[in-house]
Amino acid sequence: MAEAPGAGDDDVDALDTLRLGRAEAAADAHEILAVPPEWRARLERRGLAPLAGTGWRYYAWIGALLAVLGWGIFAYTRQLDEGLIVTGMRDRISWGLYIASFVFFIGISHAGTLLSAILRVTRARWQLSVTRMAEFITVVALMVGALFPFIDMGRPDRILNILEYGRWQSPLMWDILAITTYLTGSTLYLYLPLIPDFALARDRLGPTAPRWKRAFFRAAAVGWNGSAAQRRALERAMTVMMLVIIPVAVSVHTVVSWIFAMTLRVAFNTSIFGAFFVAGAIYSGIAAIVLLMAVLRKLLRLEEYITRTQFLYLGYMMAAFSLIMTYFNVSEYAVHGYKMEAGVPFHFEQLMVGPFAALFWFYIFGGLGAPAIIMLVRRTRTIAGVVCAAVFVLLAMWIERYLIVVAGLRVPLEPYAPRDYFPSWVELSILAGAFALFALLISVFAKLFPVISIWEVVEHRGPEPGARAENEGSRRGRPGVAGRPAR
Amino acid sequence: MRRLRVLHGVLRVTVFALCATLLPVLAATPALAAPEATTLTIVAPPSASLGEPVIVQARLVSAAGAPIAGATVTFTTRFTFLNAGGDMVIAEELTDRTGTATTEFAIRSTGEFVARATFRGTARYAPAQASTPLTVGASRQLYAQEAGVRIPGLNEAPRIGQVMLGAPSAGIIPLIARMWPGMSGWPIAATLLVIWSLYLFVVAQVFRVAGGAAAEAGRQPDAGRAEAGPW
Repeated sequence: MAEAPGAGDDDVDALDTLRLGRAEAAADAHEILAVPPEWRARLERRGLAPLAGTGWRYYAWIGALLAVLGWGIFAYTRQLDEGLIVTGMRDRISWGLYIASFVFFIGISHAGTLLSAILRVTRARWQLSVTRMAEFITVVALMVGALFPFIDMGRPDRILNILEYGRWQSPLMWDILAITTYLTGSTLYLYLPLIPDFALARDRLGPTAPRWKRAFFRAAAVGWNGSAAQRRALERAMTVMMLVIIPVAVSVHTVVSWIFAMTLRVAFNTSIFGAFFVAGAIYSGIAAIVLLMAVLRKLLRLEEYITRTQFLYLGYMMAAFSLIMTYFNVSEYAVHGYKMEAGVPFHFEQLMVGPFAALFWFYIFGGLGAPAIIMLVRRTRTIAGVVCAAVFVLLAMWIERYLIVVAGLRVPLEPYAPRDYFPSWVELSILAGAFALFALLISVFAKLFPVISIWEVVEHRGPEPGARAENEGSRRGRPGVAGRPAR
Repeated sequence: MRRLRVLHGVLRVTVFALCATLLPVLAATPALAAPEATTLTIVAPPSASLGEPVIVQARLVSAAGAPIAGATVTFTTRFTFLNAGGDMVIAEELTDRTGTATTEFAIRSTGEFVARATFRGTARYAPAQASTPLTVGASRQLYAQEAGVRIPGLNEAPRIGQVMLGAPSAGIIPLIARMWPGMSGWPIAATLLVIWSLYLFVVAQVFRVAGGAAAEAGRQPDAGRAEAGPW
């Protein structure tokens, strides 16, 4: 990760343009890039290494995650046993940490599939080495996020009522349908580009891999041998999925926003919630990709394939979305503030100078301002800078969801004194368990699937000039940048 | 025989002792008194405006007409929303020195209601109940019973404020629009059908990949793999 801050940005961009241009031209002509065999062998080795063996550190990490998850499950059993009275939620603020986290997880799930699909459709080849991680995030975040509405129910056994008495007119019904459709589509979209990589694992992993794993790769590869007919079928399937998944992903977060916007509450009374939520979801999703990319790059030694280029481009996207989010916030507060309907003064007061002021201003300056500034300033436009911006964004976007849910419900509907909400130990423990589950699923996935789409990188991207030099420079502690050794 | 006489004597003494101990105690215990009858009266305005607060009072007195202070009176009203209904508790109040419990609430839908006050009784006072009709009127509801989109002039009579300007227009488009609330499931179902059909198409392509591999393996074992490499 070490590098000269801000050095050689223009050179990087110029080299990227040159190389990307070559890759795109090859892709346009349906050609496969000719890559050096030793580079390809190294990529295969590096990409498949996590699948082949497992060290004690991995088991220790899994053990720690299972311990946190176990604590979360224990807390949930208390809630099941005693009811929602063990939470901080009451009749006046009936949604809290759970629903805020539900929106957060569904939001970061947009990272993967939506971004990956948009970038595939636009043939942005730079992202090929990170699409797999992005798609992991989608599936895992959806699996974890979808648990929260169940956790939020005092009587989860009554979930079947939605099938028995569900109404088409209810946004809750739309939400269930949209999330189910998105999770299915995202799983398919994750699986399709994995098929050739499963075949690679099947063919390359020797007897060192456990027998069950080899059997799994054999089954998951569905007999892939790279024939023309198979390629055509895979290409057709991927094209359909990348076109379908974009509107599905947009619809999911729009529907999540409608759960709020179609409720008669002052703070939710806005027509831009759909677009606002989708933009926020992509924004936090990019940050989640950056963070996961940084962790896996370091742990799995993928510096040669995930370079400064990916961090910078995702950082630029993050900066662009910070501006879009700023625009939505200005629009939202300016319109509400201009009209000042009943309840709005109370809402503004509690957000800006009241009990939520610290969180609100962190969201505005830390979540929207800081990432844009980090990407604008040449000195901070580094991998570490982008990762730092991503952490800010993730924290701020979780806070934003908390503010929407809790501050929104705190505005009194009748002239009664507002009640406060603070999550109980049960809610905090369950949230910790959910984050542990998220990390656990990502860790398990990283042992079952190659975290880089090896075949796509080989066929459509090729080696990045100077990436290895940067990698080696980084390891020796010398600064270097992608595309050019350090001066 | 002698033993039997002794046993008989012991038994007689025991029974006598028990009677001598228990009878005065039983005689001193007062009989369980029946709870005193009570009367509950409820007073509420016969009609109210939608959303406006209504003051409802209930007065609890004993059979002798003495007010009962400190008793809990529960105010309820029969309420129906969509397909659910039941007695909704409005408030629980304690009676004051005059035996009066007072509450204030606003009904947020129009129609005929029954305001009910209930005293559940205590060991000393018998339960009592009273109710009074209450009509809540307005030209509009505060909420809509049916979800859906209403467009004045299309599927609803055009109006300015509360003033109706005419009847909803006729024709096929207003007809479809009027059917919207009931039909809102169909566009959703159709969209889902399209998306899931495409998913099925994608799954079919995966089967095609698997089928192609099987067919190729049958024709030329290992040839495809040797030519094309691992992918």
